[in-house]
Amino acid sequence: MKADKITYLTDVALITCIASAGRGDAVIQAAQAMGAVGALVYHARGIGPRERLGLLGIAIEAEKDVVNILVATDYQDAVFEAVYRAGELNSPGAGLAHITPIEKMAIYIPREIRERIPGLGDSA
Amino acid sequence: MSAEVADAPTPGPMGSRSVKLISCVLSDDGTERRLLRWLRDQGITGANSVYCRGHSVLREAKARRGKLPEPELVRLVTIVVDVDEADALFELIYAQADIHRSGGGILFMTPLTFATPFVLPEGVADGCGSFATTRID
Repeated sequence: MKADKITYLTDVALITCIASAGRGDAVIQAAQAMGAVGALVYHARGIGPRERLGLLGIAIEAEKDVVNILVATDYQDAVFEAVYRAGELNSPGAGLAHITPIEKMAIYIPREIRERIPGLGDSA
Repeated sequence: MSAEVADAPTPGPMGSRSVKLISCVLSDDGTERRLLRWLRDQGITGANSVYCRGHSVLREAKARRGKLPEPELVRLVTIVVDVDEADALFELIYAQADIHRSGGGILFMTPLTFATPFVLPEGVADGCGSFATTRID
């Protein structure tokens, strides 16, 4: 495969889950169990319901894990549900999750996988 | 507030301008710094970079049962770009960041509905002892 040939992947969605700090690993494990191949995690400080929930604003964990997961749109609902449950997002102030449609994506595709894709071969 | 600040160009809302967000996940091997330097040379200043923990099931790593393997330190670079330049810049970043190699990372683009312009003031220092020679809007 030449470096200047790009294979664009479409029908991909980005699931972003903002969960309590420490729950990021559980979210990733749940997503991977549903077929997600990778995830990104970074820390953030959540501001919002903290001041209105809990005792003097200290009962809601302000430190958050932000988890980004790229999945095929065919599986986005299944992965999203797994993420929602693993992140315990049904609890007030626990966090939120959303799905962003990806217009196109590019990534290294090994030759053996390229050869398995009809019409792609090694010439695309 | 000084008169100089008042005279500086005031960016207005750019609701009619279509923009895209290009995101790039790169390993922390210096590629990200090279990419950011290259973007700056192209006059693109609307780029951000954050550290992330990267988990990939395609990368071999030892892990205890029921636990995730040790994450890899990766960089997430995000660039807000005009829709007219987005496709061309996407291809250039693909080449500049060596996405085509194994372990080269991921590059993806998402549409945005709104973005404010990021305009640098005149004569802003580009680095230690130097001044910016390019200015974009």
